[in-house]
Amino acid sequence: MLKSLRAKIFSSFVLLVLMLVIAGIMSIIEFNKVGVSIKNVMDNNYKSIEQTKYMLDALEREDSGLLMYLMGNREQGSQTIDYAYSAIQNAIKIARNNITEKDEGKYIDNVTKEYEKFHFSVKQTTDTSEKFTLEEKNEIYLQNQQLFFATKKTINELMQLNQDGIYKQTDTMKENAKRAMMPGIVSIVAAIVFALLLNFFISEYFINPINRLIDGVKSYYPEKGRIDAKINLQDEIKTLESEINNLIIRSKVK
Amino acid sequence: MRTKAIAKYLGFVLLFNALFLYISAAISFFLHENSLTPLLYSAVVCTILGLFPQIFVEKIDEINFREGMAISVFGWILTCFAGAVPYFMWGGEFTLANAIFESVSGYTTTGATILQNVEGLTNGLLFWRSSTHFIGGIGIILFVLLILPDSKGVRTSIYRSEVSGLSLMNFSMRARRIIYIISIVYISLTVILITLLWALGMSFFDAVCHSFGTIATGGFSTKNLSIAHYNNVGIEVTLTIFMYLSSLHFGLLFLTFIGNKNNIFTSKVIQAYTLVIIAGILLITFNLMKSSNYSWSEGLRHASFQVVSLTSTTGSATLDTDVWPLFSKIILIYFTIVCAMVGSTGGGIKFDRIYLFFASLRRRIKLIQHPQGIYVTKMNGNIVTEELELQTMAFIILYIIIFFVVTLLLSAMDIDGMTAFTASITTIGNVGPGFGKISSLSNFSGLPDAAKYLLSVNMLLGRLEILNVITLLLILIKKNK
Repeated sequence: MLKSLRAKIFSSFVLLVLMLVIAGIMSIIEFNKVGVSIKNVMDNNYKSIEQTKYMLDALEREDSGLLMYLMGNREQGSQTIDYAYSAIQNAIKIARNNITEKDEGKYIDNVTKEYEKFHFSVKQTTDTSEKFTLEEKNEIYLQNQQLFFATKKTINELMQLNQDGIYKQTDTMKENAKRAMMPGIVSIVAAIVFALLLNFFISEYFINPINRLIDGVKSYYPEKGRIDAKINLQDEIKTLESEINNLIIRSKVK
Repeated sequence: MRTKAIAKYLGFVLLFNALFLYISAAISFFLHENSLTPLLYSAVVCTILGLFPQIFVEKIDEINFREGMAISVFGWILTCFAGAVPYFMWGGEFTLANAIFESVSGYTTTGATILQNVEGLTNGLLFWRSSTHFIGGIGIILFVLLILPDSKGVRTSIYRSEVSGLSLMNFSMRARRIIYIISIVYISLTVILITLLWALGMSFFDAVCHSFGTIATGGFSTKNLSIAHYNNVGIEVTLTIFMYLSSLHFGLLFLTFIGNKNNIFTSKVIQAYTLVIIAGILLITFNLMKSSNYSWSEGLRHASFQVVSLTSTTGSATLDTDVWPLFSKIILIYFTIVCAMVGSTGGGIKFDRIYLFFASLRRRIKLIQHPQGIYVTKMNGNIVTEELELQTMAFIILYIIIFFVVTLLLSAMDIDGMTAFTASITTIGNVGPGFGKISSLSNFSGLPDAAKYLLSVNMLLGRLEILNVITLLLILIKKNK
């Protein structure tokens, strides 16, 4: 227990400030975590989803390129196929460097495997298409379509994985945002309790002794000799009581 | 009553809670868990609010019985609220009602949970959850008394308001010595159990958490399936023995250990208590063999674990007893009502009171037969005073009244009869599992918030032994008049 009033008041405010400062720091840390979660969503999952969209787009183009080629527009068809191939390879490369979800590597391997099958079939078709009749070409195109859909399915699965990741991150963000608010909410409640306690202690250790001292001074008469305000503490109010009594003694001596 | 004296000791209670919160926060910190902020900030708030009264209030040399009672009752209420803060801050399944329920359940060593996925909690929070059992098992107030420097009159006053008169019958020691004995037995049993569970294949962390839950007769587990998760007979037998030991009078355990003639083997009450448990185990075993096609060994294994788990008020589970035949369920309900012994960490009516009830009944019958005769009620060779006898009867009657009122209120909330009945009896007895929606492998999450608050009050009433709360309420009402 502290003896002087100044130390008591100072310590009380230090404790209050300490509690609020720590609440502030913890809220900042938690909000920072929310920021990190947003960055994760934007940098990682969203980037992967964007790449899967490029993959799907390029895959469609490669399919169109094949159709163009088979329809006789060989040069443009060939160019479209080559362009789509490099676009897909680029998207796969970016996705592979941006693995954020569990087993995402396996999903990308599946995309690569299925796409290689499709692309090999496309190349084989373009290399040998001159030999075939229109009906045969039609049949080859339909066979390629099965590989096309298989590849598209694996890309969609990769996209779904990253979308699920986003939902998970959103939940984490929600939790983190709630946690970031919590120190503030708890601080408000604690500060109310603190204020009630401070009010009680101020009246117990400041107001009541001063009132007793005032009553003592008011009810003083010379025959009484001294003032007894029943102050049991060793603080400034006790010193004031002693000094008033000293003053009374000194005035009597005069 | 001096409010400042009460505030000073409530401050110590908060500081003691803060100690365990810091340990839990350290676990979260080292494991990089997201529960660090809730645990650390709760610890900081407890420290600051606990330190605040120490700044102002001078050293207290004496505390009267009323102040002791207020410290005990308000200390428990405050500690339950403080314990709910990290849960509430962490979120997940913890709404305000759930956080308060879980905290009260932890401190009162009830072990009833609202969590559907215990394994979803972080290790820091799991440790904190088990710590509430450890703190509540011996009693937060006794813990505080243990660490406080001795002041004339303080320890005795608070101690007498925390411990029932019946548990002091075998002792003529000073409060300080009894507190030390209880603490030594409590901590020794915990350390031995941690070592054994660890040796039997539990991880060290799980061994610590389960030991806290078992010696405190709480029952919180780190696994969704409780003890059934391990499916290990060695662990079950060890826990059964320690649950039984924890349900005995700690003072008598200590006297047994130091070779005193007044020990657990000579105590008539313990002999009767053990016989009733054995009878319960055998009856359930036969019933399971006959009605549920259990083998002899399987029946005995599960019956002994469940009976000791409920009668010690631990509430750990190796299977879902809700699927057991009605006869077995009724026996288990009996053990949920009449559980543990005074001077242990268990809750409920306590076997000693039932023993005293029958001893008293016998004396009354003799007095009716021979009105001029002089008869006394004895327990373990000690004469029971008329006052203690009346107090015990009043306690049993109040216990039954509260149990019926709570059952009625739960039924009014559209909770089915079996769930309402067993929820009321299991929470006031600080046992944990019941039947119906709250069976041994289930939880209290499905109950409405109002029911959770009501059951939290019920748990606190059970832990504070009802009479203390009512006495304090009457003192406060009289003071305000």
